[in-house]
Amino acid sequence: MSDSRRAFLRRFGIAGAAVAGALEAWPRLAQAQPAAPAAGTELTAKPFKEALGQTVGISLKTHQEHYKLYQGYINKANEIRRRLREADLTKANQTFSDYRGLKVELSFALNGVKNHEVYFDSLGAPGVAPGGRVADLIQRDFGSIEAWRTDLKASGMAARGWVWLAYDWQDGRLHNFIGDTQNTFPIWDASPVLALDVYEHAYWLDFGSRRADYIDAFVKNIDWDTVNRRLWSLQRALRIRV
Amino acid sequence: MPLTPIQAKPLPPNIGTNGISRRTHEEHYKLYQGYITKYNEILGRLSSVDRSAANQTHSDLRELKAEWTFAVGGVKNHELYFDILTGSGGMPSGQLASIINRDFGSFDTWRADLKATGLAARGWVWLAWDHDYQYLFNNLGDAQNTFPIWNATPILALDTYEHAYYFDHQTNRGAYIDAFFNNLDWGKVGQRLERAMAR
Repeated sequence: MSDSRRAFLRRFGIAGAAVAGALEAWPRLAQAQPAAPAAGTELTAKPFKEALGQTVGISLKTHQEHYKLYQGYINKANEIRRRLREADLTKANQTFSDYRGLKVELSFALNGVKNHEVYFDSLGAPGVAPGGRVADLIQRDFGSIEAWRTDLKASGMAARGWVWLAYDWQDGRLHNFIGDTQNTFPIWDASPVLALDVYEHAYWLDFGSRRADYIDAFVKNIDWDTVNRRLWSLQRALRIRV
Repeated sequence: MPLTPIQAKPLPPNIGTNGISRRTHEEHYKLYQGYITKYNEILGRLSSVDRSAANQTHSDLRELKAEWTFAVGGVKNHELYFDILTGSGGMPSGQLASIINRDFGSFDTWRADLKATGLAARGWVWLAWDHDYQYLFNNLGDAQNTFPIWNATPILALDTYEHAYYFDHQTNRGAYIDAFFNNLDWGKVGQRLERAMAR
């Protein structure tokens, strides 16, 4: 048991045995907690998700090319982290400085990594109906699955980069947030559980300019099991309250 | 369960005024109230906006959703900023101190990095705990909604908009950042880290 989990259990005064039983009942992500990218360590790309080959309407070729962009974000995150360790702090300047450029683009690279890991996790199970805890929370917070889907599609048409279904830790709810790039506009203290990429690279090969058709295909290929596992891996607090 | 309007938290009566004047805090607090007002306005309009007209070049839905993130950011950023300025500086202790040492090398290195990041930013610096990678980092932002990190919890926020320091320091942002350090409430920052890590 990790120190943080012990602290949590202490805080809520919950008996260890009962909680352990509840936790074991849930599946785990293969890598819920990757190694900390402390000084000198590097981020590594997660392997290509084989189930992406099953998506209907979004081709394997699209996913394979898309995965290369994800690898690019991993590489750039590592490069920037290396250069940050050698950057000259005394020249930091908001108009232009190496330090500024590195820190701004680290947020691009790191969110590029996170966004794509959530995106690939979101897809790969065509024809599966929404279920589990995520579906319950969607119904609670959007009124119905259909209302959420309508908002997701509209958000996808209104965004220039991303739509994230994210759990906000401060209001305890799920929201569909839009973004225009990898680092605009994530939310602090919030965790995406499903991500819809609307950059053209996500759909141009298969749909040309027909983004709406791509979004329809996205919705039909959502891997709800993995989305639920991601939510679960994030939310010790909710796990206990179930 | 529809979202309900939110209310502004009070400005902490004991907010530090060592190098950052009460007048600055009080004017600053009005901006925070403005984000609360806009958050609620957007919330109301989102409930009835025409989603069938959604368009990425321009549409009401796009503007509402994009500026929603600005308002949410403005609320969260300022609540954190005001909350952690009720101390008298010094140094962190306990788990927070050991993790700062682990992730930055030393407290002095962290402090130099925060100041440099504050001089390199156009809006905010956040010391945040990344839940995916389990580490602390000084992140930089240019606006209320650029550039937060997903699945990360800020435990300290330094506002570098001019409104945060112009009364007291004019163009001398470095002096403002030094004053910021002298008002930090490390106990609260430490509690925030513990809560984030216990998730």
